[in-house]
Amino acid sequence: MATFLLVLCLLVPVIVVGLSLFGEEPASWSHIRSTVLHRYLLNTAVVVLGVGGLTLLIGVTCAWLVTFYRFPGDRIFSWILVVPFAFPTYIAAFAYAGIFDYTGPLHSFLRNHLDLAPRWLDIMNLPGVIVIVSLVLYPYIYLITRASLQRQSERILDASRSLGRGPIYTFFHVGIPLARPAIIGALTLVIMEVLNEYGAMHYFGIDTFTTGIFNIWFGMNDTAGAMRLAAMLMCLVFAVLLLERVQRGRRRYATCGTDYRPTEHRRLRGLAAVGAFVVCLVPVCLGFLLPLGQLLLWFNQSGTEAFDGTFLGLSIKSFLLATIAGLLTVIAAVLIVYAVRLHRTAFMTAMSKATILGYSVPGAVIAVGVMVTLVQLDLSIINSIGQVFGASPGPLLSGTVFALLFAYLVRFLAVAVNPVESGFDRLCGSLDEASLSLGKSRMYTLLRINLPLARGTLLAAGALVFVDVLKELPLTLILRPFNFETLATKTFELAGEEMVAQSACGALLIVAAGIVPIILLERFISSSNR
Amino acid sequence: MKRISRNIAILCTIVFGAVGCSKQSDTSVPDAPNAVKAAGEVNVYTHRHYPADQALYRTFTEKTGVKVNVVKAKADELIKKLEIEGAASKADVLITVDAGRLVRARKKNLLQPITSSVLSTNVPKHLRDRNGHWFGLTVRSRVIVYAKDRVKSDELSTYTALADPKWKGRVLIRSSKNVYNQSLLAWIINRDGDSAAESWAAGIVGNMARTPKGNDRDQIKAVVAGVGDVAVVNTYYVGLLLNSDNPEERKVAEQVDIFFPNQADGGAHINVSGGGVTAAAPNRDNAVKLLEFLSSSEAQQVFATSNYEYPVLAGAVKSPLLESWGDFKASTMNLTDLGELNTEAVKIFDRVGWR
Amino acid sequence: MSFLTINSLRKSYGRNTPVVIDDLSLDVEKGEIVCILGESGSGKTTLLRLIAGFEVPDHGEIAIDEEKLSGTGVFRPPEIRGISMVFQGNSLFPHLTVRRNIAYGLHPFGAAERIERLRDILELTGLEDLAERYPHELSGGQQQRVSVARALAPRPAVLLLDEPFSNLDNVGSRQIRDDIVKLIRQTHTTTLLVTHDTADALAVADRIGVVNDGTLLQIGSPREVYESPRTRFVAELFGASNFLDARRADKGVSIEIGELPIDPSRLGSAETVTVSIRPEHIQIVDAGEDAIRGRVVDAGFHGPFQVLLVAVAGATGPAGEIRLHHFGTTTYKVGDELHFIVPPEKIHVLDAE
Repeated sequence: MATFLLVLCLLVPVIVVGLSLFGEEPASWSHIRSTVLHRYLLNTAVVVLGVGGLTLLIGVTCAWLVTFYRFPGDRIFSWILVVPFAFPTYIAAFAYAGIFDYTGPLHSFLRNHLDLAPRWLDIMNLPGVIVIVSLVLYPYIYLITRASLQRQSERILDASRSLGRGPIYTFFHVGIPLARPAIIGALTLVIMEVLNEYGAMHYFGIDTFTTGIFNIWFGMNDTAGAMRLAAMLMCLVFAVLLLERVQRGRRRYATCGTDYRPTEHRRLRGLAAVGAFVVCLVPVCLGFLLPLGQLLLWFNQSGTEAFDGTFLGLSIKSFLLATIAGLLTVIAAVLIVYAVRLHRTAFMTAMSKATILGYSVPGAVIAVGVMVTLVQLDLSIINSIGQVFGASPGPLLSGTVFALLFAYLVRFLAVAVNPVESGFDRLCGSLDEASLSLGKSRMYTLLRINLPLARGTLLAAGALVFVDVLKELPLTLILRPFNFETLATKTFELAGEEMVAQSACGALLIVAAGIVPIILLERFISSSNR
Repeated sequence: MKRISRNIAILCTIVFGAVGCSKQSDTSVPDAPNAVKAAGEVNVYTHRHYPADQALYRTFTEKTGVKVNVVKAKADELIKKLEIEGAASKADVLITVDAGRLVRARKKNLLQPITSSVLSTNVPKHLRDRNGHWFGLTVRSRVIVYAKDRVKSDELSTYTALADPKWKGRVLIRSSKNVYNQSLLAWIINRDGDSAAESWAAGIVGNMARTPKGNDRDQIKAVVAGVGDVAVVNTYYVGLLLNSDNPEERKVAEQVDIFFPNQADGGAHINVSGGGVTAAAPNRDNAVKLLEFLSSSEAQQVFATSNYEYPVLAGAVKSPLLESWGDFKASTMNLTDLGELNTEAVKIFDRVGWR
Repeated sequence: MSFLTINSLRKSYGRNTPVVIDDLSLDVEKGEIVCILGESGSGKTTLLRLIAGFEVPDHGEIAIDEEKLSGTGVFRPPEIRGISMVFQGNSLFPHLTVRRNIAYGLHPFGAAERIERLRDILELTGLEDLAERYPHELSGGQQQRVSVARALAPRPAVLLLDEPFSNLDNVGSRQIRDDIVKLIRQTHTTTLLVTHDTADALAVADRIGVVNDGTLLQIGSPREVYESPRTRFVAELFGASNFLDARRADKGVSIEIGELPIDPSRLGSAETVTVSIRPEHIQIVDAGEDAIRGRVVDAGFHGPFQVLLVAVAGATGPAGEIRLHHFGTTTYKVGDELHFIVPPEKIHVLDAE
């Protein structure tokens, strides 16, 4: 019942956005439909397919190599492959634009030192945005897939080989299908992140559904229309999520029983080892080292003056905020996933799927939902207190850190629910039943049985939310209290809208602050597996 | 919608009841507004995010003792925030980087009229609202930037002329999602009417050197890179490039020149960054004080020197760079009208396929 | 030359770890079912994984039909060995139906043959009705039948079974075991089965090999291994026995409970040996010259027989107590006196350990 209330709580902002579907048709709708909608849809589809495919390719391949093989640098790759995730997408996009800019290092070098003026190599287009966004989002797939692969029973993979199927066939027909819930969960996150990406798309001039939402809102001053478009997006995502669930049918992806052998690493030699090394090196270089290099270059040119000593305080504050948000989100996710596990009803499943919709729409839109929710709540509290005490305390929730944390919870629940769900899916149901039959309460069972067993995935979920909160911009900008700055908002402020060069320092700090928990997490996961 | 809000309110009360109450104690802001000090404070919602602004707020506090609290976000988001907060809003001042947004806020009754002799004196009539709902604080002019080696200044004349087939494949301009382009088109609609504006936009699309992408600085770089020959940008981006930390960017800025269009035809299109006092302002007097301060010659000088914007105050000292560009004739069209035509402009952009 | 030959196989995981398989050689004839019997940790699963190709031996050779699979400079990956393995526990693919699980390894066959083979196997295993189910919708026994069916479907040269009956519930397990063995016999598949359960091994195997600490202690027909264990370890595996220290004596060998008529030549050069006498081989007789007298100190009823612990007259301590199985209708109580004899041919002299 408590969980039910929690879910309801978190659903309110989503419902607020969803309700806009039932309003009257917004003024700008027919215009949108007749002029630009088809392009928005086409671009969105291309970007989603492109990024989805590319992140799967990079993430799953690297996860497979690192999980099952030994090759030069495999230990280092296992954590450094996650690091590109620390880059906010828009910063990576700006960094890449910077590298290939006419005044960027590449062209400047060619022009000034080799006296070459090649045709302007343009990456600010659809393929460019797909590659760049994929390079910073593949760690979602990599991290979650690897966690799932690490727990795969070697027995089952061996069974395939003893039936005459080679490692590649086994990978595609057993390894991948068994990791399907995890991979789908990660892919969902990637796709939702692509759908709500505004900064990079806007800068690169790619009109997607989300740039459309803002065009209606900002350009045409039609908030209702924008909300409606966002609600449609949400419905689409919801439908896809449910469809995937239905498509799974009676299939299961986990085998009960704990007698699996931990997977063993096979040593690669010769060309195979070189190949694996290169395959893992490419995403690290392109997704991390290259944009990092550009940021450092900018920092070197202009960053030092922006470094005014406030960054330490900002870093600590951002760190704290992200930690609390991560903790709260994981707790909420566990409660929801566990409730679904206990009562396997279609209603609960749908509810839990609905709570992750906050991630599918742009941050600014969900911010509106959160604001409406909290202001209405404030008003009702103010009124009731006013009636009882005859004095009004003023707004209590909106414009406070609580509002911000609540918004993070609504927004990033998806990021936590997916890995927590796949972590719990792998736990045998009979474990719960055994504990319950031994007279332990559900809460005790959750705390003592399920949580310790799903520890790895819970940590992964927490780290993902942490990094996401650290990078988050629109929600923080709109909902923060007066004079409240985080690393991201400070970076944004220095950056102006599209001038990351001046804020390279902040961007570097966000990246650095994101790397720390990633490395800690990685350490923990690898030590608990050994 | 009212009904829906009401239902949500009831739903919230039920749902949050316990949660909200228990959370109150640890999340309430320590410096609650009830304890306003003698000089008080002023709460600003602003779209401007320049370090210079922050310095100005500090100066204001030093001079008046009024504390300035700031939330920075996009204008439309802030307007929506004001709208949702309604009478409970703590904001006193809304500052945007485009007059159109201030017009929107006024139309939603989020701003209140101010009568201030200081503001009326400092801000020229066409750069402020007729009833004092908002006041321009800085001026940005949208100009043509051209490659010195490929274009002669006498080839250029007006915005309209850029739609001439002569410029086919040579014009660089950013996306239609950009408010400065929207305001430029709104200006043309107001001058020449809908159909002329639409054929102008279509002409520009036909002349574009590439699909719009990037910001104004990228358009200038693309001119130097030879992608096109002329770019339509705001003046201060040239200033930013000229003073960039990256020597390559300074080189780029030196290879282009600025042309103020329509000098013989009513003046160049301008927009303002400005502010107004919100309808629910709890600190109305301080809000007026702040706006007055921002229009004073002291503040205007800061705007003109640190960010290469033009001051609204006649006679304010300009930076050497602005001086070097010389005086130009600016359009005196009242900016209120532009704000009202913004939506129409966006629709035209969409119709002609201006990305 | 045998069908499956294993020659001087050695395997350890890592340099300073104990040897798991130590100089093990084994030959399996075509169509034979050989059970490897051993306790957990004896290295028997490793042996299977070496044969299947999941592990690379440190030393030694594995060959099928004189074709080398593992050995110096040769290592054939598991998927092209033609060896199917049934793993301990459930290793069915949880995302595939029974039909698709069984069809999984049928890719070398042509399309038509594949369908036919699948139908045959389903029919043979009686799994037709379950073909569209997912593994989690089956009982443990059914899962095991599917596992074996899946492994047999591609007609493997050798079938390896790792503890195939250990996860089955007791009541149905014998039925399932018999079904599976019938299936293997019908297909004449050369099979190596690993188990820790003596009863299973005795019931199923053509030959039993007993493994301990990575070495093959003894291999032979179930009767041989049961009745003529070479070591005390082997003898104990097959249930209780009386182990007695024996010395050379006038008529044969003397032990604690008296003299036994054994040909001293069976002792070899050793002065003392251990002999093993199975409890069921001791016969209760009327008093007589060769009979040994004793008193019942413990008695338990086991259905078909009574287990008696008899203290031999004149002997003291546990060494003087003999366990015997009494199949008669009379019931002995603690304190009763009786006489028994041990038929000389049932006295088994163990190898010195």
